[in-house]
Amino acid sequence: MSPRGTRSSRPVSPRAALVPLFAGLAVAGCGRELPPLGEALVVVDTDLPVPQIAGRLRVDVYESGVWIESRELARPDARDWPVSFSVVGKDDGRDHDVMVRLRVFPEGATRSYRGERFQDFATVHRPGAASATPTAGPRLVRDGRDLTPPLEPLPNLAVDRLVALHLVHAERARHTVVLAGACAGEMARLGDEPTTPDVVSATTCKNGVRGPADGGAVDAVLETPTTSRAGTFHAAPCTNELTTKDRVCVPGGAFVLGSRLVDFSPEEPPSPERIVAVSRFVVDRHEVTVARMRDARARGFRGEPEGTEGPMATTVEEACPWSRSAQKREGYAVSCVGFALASGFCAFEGGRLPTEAEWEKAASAGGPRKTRYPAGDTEPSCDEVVYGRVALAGSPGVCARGREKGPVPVFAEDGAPLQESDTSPLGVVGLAGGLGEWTADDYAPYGSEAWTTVTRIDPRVVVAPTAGVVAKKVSRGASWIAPVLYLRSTTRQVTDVDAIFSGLGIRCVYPAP
Amino acid sequence: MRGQALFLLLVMMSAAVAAPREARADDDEEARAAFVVGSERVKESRWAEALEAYERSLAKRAHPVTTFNVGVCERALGHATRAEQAFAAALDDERKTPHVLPEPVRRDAETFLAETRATIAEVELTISPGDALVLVDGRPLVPAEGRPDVRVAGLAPQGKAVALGAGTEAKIVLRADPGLHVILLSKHGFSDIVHRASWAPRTKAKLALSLDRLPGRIAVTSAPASGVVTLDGLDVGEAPVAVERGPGLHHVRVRRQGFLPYDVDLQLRAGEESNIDAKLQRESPSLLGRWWFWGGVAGVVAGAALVTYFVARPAPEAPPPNGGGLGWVLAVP
Repeated sequence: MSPRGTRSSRPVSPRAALVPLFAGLAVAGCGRELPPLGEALVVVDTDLPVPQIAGRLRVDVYESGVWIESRELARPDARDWPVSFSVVGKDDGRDHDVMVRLRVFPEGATRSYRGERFQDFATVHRPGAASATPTAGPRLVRDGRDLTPPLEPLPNLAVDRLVALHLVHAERARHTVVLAGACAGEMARLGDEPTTPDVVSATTCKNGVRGPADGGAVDAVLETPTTSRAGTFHAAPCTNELTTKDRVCVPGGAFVLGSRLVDFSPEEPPSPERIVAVSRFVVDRHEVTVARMRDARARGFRGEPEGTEGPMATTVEEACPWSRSAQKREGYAVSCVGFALASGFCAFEGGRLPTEAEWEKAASAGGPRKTRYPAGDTEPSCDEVVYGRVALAGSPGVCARGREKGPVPVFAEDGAPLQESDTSPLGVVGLAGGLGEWTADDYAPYGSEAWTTVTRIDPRVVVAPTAGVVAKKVSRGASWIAPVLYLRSTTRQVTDVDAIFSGLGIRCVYPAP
Repeated sequence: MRGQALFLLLVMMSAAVAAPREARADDDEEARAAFVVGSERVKESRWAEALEAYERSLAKRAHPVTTFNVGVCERALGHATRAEQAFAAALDDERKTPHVLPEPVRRDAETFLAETRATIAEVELTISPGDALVLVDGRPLVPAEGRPDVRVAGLAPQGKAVALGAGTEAKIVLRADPGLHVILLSKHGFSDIVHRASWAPRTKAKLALSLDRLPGRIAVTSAPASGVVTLDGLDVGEAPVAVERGPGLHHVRVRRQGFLPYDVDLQLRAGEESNIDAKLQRESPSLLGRWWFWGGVAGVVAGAALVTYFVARPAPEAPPPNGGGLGWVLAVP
């Protein structure tokens, strides 16, 4: 028997009393829904790697030539993509034209807003372009307040796309736009007028080709896709068998070449930066050693480095480790080789010298972000990287005093590797120090025409020879002689093609189709 | 001149060997041996190795002759400021203890000091901001003796950067060896400058280096999540969100339906990150949580609604916009 006063059921909530009432009203109202406002569901995706290049998305919206909205979104995870939002027209029974400017760029790659309308690719990638005089430009004003964002993406590191939306009254559509790596560094042109964006004269890069702004791919499916193309631009991942004890696979894909973090490098500024892509390739894990050169010569390679036969010297003039007969220096990286011998050696081994872009990608790929040195952001110590091991006039040998001087072997006599602390995220050894390394590229400043006209994918700069002038090549990486500033992954060094130098050696790359 | 220096070194060697005999025997012996090694290296023009040997000798037994020899090596290596320091130190010892330097050595020390001084580059260096940290060739600058406005490069060992002044600008005279130098300027909140300069002997130059301010960063999270963040009146997205802005005063508002707006003013400094965790408070529940309120409402609304509905049927509405994954609907004004 139930206790007295106990109720067998819970009381009805007062709010529940309203439910039947409103349900009845809702049913009575059914069939009287108005047609929708004109709406564009904008779906934005990118094929660039997230977050190394595509870390943030800037959205600016213009209507009738007036800047009406600006929003910047951090999207540092590939799962954040695609990004989607809606633009709706007014409830006035008319169609509306809206222009949306979408820019994807790396975290921190911004500059003060300048308001300039358009710069072509060459100007964008010219040194000093980022510090040109600001112009008036369009401004975002709301309720009398100037809300213009103070910063804007760096155009050389952004994919900049204009999307023209025609909002048809009572119709809804999905506009899918891909911010493509093929358009990296191509600034959108908002139109002819200096301060009023104009959809008629605006042009933008779409899949590598400039043309009038359009609405992207349009359909009626009002859903946001759950899969993204992030990281697919010229991507080619490595497979296990491509990386061996002696060689390291570097995956294909886009990355930022150069650095804006220093305004002056020892020989040639590593800026302006640019977005490039390289195909997958395989690179020597270590610099070419005396033993490897001797083996190649035994197999028929005819080139021979300059060398000495006595004890290993420690001076810049004499520290060439090659010897006709095997001494106790087979584990040293071979230096005192000219460009011709270096490229001939790599060809003999079935490869070639790396391009600048390949060298820098080998030094910086594999980590969550590009670091200042191959092994990280911290300045390497004398125990970690082989550098500064000789005193030069005006440039003290910071790692020379109180230590052994001169080059350091790559391998000990028993074959044990000796420079493992100078290792890139992918496992390439001795990129920061040891020896500088020849690259295949002719020398040209990053702001020159040679670099602004070179292909975005697998760039290799070739400069027409000038009569009477020794051709110049770029070497990368620092040597046992260099001061610390040369150790950065982005440092470029200009080297005469016929130079033979005890601080310069060989590392080859091989195709990995 | 190199031959003359070598001759002097050989003469000095005997002086130096004689001088340390009254000191501790072991140290003297090591000093003497290092001195001999240094002099042999000089004969082979292996100046860096000679310098190391003389410095080893000095560490065991200080003697102005050895100091002079250090100066000769530094001079040969192109380290003018270090050579100047060594020659000056040797002559200073001579002033304190007359005739401690043989007369030919004293004369050469004076000559070398004058010559070396003349080759040192002097650069009027202006740095903005004034308290930026400075390294030249990885070494901090050292104030010149008795001249606080003059700093000398190349004397201090590799070490941490030091500020030259304060305020918005600092001006000093930098004395440096002729040749290539790498000047590193840094300050928290500013972008680094790495400047390479090459100065010829006797250079008199001016150099101004100004660091660029870095923007600050404002990172906003909200609890509950997905609050709409407005920065200085401009929507910047849903929390969590991070934006870069210039230094200065900024107003952040976070709002979410059913919660009171969260407002905060913040003073953003260059290069710094301000983290804002907006804990949103629910709008006052007061009456909404009381049963009797809802009972009354139910009665009143039921009656009123029924009457009203039949008098004026509800106006039809357009379906809500999609908003996409961001839930952001931008309405054309």
